[in-house]
Amino acid sequence: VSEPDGFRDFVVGRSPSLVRSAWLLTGSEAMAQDLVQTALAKTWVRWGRVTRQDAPEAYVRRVMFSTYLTWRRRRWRDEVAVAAVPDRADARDAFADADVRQSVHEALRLLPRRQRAVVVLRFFDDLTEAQAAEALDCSVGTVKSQTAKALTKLRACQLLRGVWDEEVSGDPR
Amino acid sequence: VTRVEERLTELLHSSAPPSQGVPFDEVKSRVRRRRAIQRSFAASVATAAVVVATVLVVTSTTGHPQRIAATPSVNLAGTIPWLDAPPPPYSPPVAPAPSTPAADARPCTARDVTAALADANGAGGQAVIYVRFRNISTSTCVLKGYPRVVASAPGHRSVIAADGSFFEQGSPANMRPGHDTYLGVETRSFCSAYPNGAPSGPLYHRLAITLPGGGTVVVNDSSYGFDVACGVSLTRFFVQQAAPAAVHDPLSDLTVALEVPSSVAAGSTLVYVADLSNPTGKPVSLDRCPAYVETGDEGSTLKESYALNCAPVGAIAAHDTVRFEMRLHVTPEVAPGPLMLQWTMSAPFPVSGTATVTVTRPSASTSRMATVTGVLQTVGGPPGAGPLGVSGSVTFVDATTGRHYQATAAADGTFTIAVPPGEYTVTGTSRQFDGGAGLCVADSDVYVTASGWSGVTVSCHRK
Repeated sequence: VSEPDGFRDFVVGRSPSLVRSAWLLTGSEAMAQDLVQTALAKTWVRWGRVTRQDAPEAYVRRVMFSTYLTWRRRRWRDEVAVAAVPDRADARDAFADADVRQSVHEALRLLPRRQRAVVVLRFFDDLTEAQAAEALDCSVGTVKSQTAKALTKLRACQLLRGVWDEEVSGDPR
Repeated sequence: VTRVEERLTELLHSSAPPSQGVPFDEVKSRVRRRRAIQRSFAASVATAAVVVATVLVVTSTTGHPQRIAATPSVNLAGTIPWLDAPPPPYSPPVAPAPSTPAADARPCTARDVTAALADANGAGGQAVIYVRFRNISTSTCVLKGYPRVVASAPGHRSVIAADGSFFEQGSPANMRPGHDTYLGVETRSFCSAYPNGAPSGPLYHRLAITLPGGGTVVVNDSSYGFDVACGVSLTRFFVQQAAPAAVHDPLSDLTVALEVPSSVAAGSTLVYVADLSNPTGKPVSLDRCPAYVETGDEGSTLKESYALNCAPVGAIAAHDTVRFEMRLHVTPEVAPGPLMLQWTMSAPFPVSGTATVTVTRPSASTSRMATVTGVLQTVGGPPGAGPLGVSGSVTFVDATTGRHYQATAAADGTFTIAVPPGEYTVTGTSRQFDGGAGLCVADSDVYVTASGWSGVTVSCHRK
């Protein structure tokens, strides 16, 4: 397998960030690695054309999110969407115990995949609505609506009650 | 940006664990695995669909079929599927072990034999002169082991030969009347006494050879001479063995004829048949599986080599013919016009066939559509149940346009479909899986390039 020019540098330089995004999507380091490696392997064969377009990371991210949205659930058997997350005895304490990671992961699991993808692209990868739309191969309007729905759900999520202050969250309680 | 959005951004950044990224070698090996999967599954990919396909029917989401003309094809019914496997090295047939001749007759005495210098040879400062002993008696006897040999020359000291020689060869054997046994007498130009080469000395012409069975024979021949400065040494008695006959390879008895379509579009894969026939009265085993080479005529640069798909065949019966599916990718650069295809079994014998196929320009459909092959199979289930190809329907959904393309999987699960290059989500159904209600899925999305894709596996997971 011949190595495309510059591909190794890209993997070394950019894959840490991609894995972090993938972790937010999948909630697992192993699955994040799997997702990123799959996206990079798919990109490998097109690397020459990708670099000519001068936006390799955008391309890889698009492949990664596309793969994420279309991979079958059976591939990730441990990922099961749930209608509601069971209450914790004291979610604030759990948060105080620096269990942010788990709480965020479980909160994100409440979101449909596309909404989760929009959240990660907009608020972690810091993409504009237009860039997120391109990454997800959908319209800007779809990004806006998916973002709004996701934020509504996250604000109402009991796991994140301690995150939003009263002023911001308008806590329904 | 709202406060909620700011807080969410902070939350995501604080919760996503730091990462070292992915190991580059893992990506590389994944690329290699993807390609290996392509190659391995190509071996079991649909032949039946190709057999009957003079047209490929692609159904759009609207249900309206689009007919896409396919290239002319040969009848692949009953063929052994093409195998995408690297060519193995030639393995010659095992030669029968040479039998050790009997050497149990009575020892020859000096009265039984005549002796004469027969031949000479040499290499690297070592020379050997062979003494031929002929049995002139009326019964069989044997010369074996070392004799006592004394070389002599008038006015010079005699030299006794030592046992053991660089030129040892053969083995002793019973010597029937009129037959011969040999002894090698070696001399050297270099030795510890003369590391830079012995000075030329007198040549010894007389050898007195005392046989193990008794008696001494004398060889005295002025045409040969021994320079004994570095001593004399001997081989054992030996009988010249006939050179082993070249072992016949039954594979060389096979003949080949090619069945090719009338034409093939540049940029597509030529699918044809190699008929291997056994004209002999004995079966020819394919246990030593041969490789073959496909080449185009000069200037085409086409050349591919693979292993024959021997496993399903085992042996070609006497007076029988086995048809092997063959494939050769005709690159887009091949000029339109007649192309002479040569198929040659890669071995030290000529089993070769030729055929001519007309290369056409890539058709519009060829340039727009790419051929994808794969297999629909059930996996899982009871322990020991391996993947099993099943008939059914396979659907490709274009990730960009949402357009659906459908293919029919044959009884063995293989399918072929023509789709525009792009990214596809692939699913399938089979009546043999949950009565057709279960959903079968590909391992991952399929990226179809213009040159096509092979090895798509659509798995129906049994519980």
